[in-house]
Amino acid sequence: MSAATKKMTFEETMKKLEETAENLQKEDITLEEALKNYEKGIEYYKQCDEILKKAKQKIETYSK
Amino acid sequence: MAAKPIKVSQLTTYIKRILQTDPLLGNVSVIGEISNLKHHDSGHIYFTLKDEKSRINCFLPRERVPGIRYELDEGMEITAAGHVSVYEKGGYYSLMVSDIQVEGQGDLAIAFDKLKQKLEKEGLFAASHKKPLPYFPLKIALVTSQTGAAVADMVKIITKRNNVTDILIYPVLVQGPEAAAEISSAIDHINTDFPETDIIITGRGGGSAEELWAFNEEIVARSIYASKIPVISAVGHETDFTIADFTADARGETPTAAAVMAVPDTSEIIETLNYLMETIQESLVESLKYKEERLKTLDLQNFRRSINERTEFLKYRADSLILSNSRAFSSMIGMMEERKENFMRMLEDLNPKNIMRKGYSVVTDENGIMINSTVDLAKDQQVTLIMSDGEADSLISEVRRNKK
Repeated sequence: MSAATKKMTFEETMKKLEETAENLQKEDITLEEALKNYEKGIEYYKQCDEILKKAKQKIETYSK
Repeated sequence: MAAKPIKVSQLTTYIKRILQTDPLLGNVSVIGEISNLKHHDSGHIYFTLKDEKSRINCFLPRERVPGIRYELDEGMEITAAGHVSVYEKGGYYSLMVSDIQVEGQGDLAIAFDKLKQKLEKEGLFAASHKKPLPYFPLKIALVTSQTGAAVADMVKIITKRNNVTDILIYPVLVQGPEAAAEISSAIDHINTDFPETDIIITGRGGGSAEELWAFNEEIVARSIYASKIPVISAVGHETDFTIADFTADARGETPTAAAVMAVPDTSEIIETLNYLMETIQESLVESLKYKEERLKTLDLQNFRRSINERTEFLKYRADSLILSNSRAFSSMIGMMEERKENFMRMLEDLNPKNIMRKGYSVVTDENGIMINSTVDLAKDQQVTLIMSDGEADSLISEVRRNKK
């Protein structure tokens, strides 16, 4: 499968990012948890961003 | 009286030769209605073609069956191409069918329903077999005509929505007798040679029932079903349903709809990502502020006292841990030493010198090799006796072996 699915799919990474955002909005989150989620969030964001900024889109026609 | 009588087989052979050398009967197309359709266990198909006045037996050999583009049924009007052949043993002639054409709308509908029922029964349309489409494919293959409007529409939509996903256009014929085989092998080939492909879209723009027929052929359905890569089928308009649509993992009402379905809109994604990132930043700042407020309200004196108490307690625990551990440690060393002494004693017992001290001795030959059997001894042989305190060279005067 594609590079995205080898580790985590784009969709999974985005879902994780959403989760960290939700966690951070909880009032009872500990300082440690907050920082951990923040770091994770940045990591997930970077992973998504990397895919979106990857090399130029290729359009090719197969010829036998 | 006619000519000289001949045998039945001679007559049949003659008839056969006449029929087989006739140029018209060697390559003929016959229109008729199917009756007495029989699928033999061997894979051959037998049926009768009839019109209001006459009928002819037809034989469709097993090796021709995969090339037939239509599922056959009783009452269908077809055009069968082939040659007339004589079955000598049975003494009858029949049409050896090599290809079949179906043209009437009603007859195509019959073939469609027949195949649909057959594949449905086999489980080719089962929801449990359908693969989910990946949310963000990095590569999409388009199995369609290179010259059709469909391919241009799909590329336009994909690139408009998404500037990441790669597109592989895999040109195939989408109508005519060769189309189904090309579509089918394209899907197989992408699976083996371009396994990094995340989604395959196969389809074409609108057309007549005959023009769309390739997507109603069994081999296309089989390849779609076997594909490890999810397949979207997108044939004609919203109202056109094909066997490929039923078999595929998803159906696009049109090629354009399939393209929309296949790739996410990257600008929307970027917007969502940025929104999430802002939320994360803000939430962190919020929760830091909240913690700070709470710290300020804490009674520092109280805090220090409790810290001190806690430190004392921890220290006490640590000391007692070390104490109990050192006790366990020394008893373990004692046990190890005892085991070592036992071991040494055992080794000592096995020392040959100690055994000899008990009165045993060892006999060796002149090369110092130990002799432990009378078989290795002979009269007048020179041997050496080794005892715990010295050696003695000896001469064998007689050998007496024990009876077995």
